[in-house]
Amino acid sequence: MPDKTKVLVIDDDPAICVSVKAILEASGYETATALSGKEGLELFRRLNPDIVLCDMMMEDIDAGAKVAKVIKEERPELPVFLLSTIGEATARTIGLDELGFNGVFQKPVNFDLLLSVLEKHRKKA
Amino acid sequence: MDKSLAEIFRLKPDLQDFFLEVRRLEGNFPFNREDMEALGQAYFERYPEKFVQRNLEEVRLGYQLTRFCLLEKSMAGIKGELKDFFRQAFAQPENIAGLMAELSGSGLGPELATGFGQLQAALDGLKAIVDELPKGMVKERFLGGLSSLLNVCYLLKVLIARSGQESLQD
Repeated sequence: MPDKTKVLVIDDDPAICVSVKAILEASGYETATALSGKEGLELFRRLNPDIVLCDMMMEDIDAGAKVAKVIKEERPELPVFLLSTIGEATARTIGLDELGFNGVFQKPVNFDLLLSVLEKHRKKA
Repeated sequence: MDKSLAEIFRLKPDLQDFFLEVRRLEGNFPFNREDMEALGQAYFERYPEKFVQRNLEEVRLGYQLTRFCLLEKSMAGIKGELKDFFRQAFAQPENIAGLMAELSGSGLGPELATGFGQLQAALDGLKAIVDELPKGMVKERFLGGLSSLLNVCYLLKVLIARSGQESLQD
């Protein structure tokens, strides 16, 4: 039995963190949450997650981009997805991949889609 | 009701007092695009937005405010005990399975799926209004509040479906 796949969720709204964590844990993922970019980077280094889901606007308007940049410098292979109210068109305009994100899930999140994407990154037996 | 949510918000400096006042309305308040914009404007008058070193506590109050009003509005017409269940479920999504077990014990289990359908339909209607809000920070706070509600709806949907399958297997 492999270890559970670890997901780190970074969002400044505790209600988003708690609800996303509940959904991911019901789907068999181990989940940790952080309420700011700063806390997120601390947990990233401490927990060594397999996937990161990160909001954009937190303590700064571009806090999520700063988090993604640091993560990609330290672990370029780690999938980092943006969870944000910005739409896909805006995401394309700001150049998500250049910011270090592997993709975007627009809020309100389509969890059938998100879980199908996470499944591709789940640890295999 | 003679006051709008924005007027009540301005009259109640303590957010908990605002919540109590709105809860008394049992969802019987107008909540169209203009009402959402006016409430958002009242919120930003009290907590102006900053784009650098944002005050996260004030931002979170905004999400809490929109979430509360959207949920109360979406539960208009749902009966009291079930409403209490939904209030608890949305406040503690990590405990939904336990809350559902308690609800079944109280004999209200069979009504859950119907009540949830009503609530989901009402939230979908409110989402359509939020989608039409002009781009900006008022819309951002409403989308944030709505998102966590819809996350919990997803979880409820999954757990209600699972409980239905389990009872079929019993």
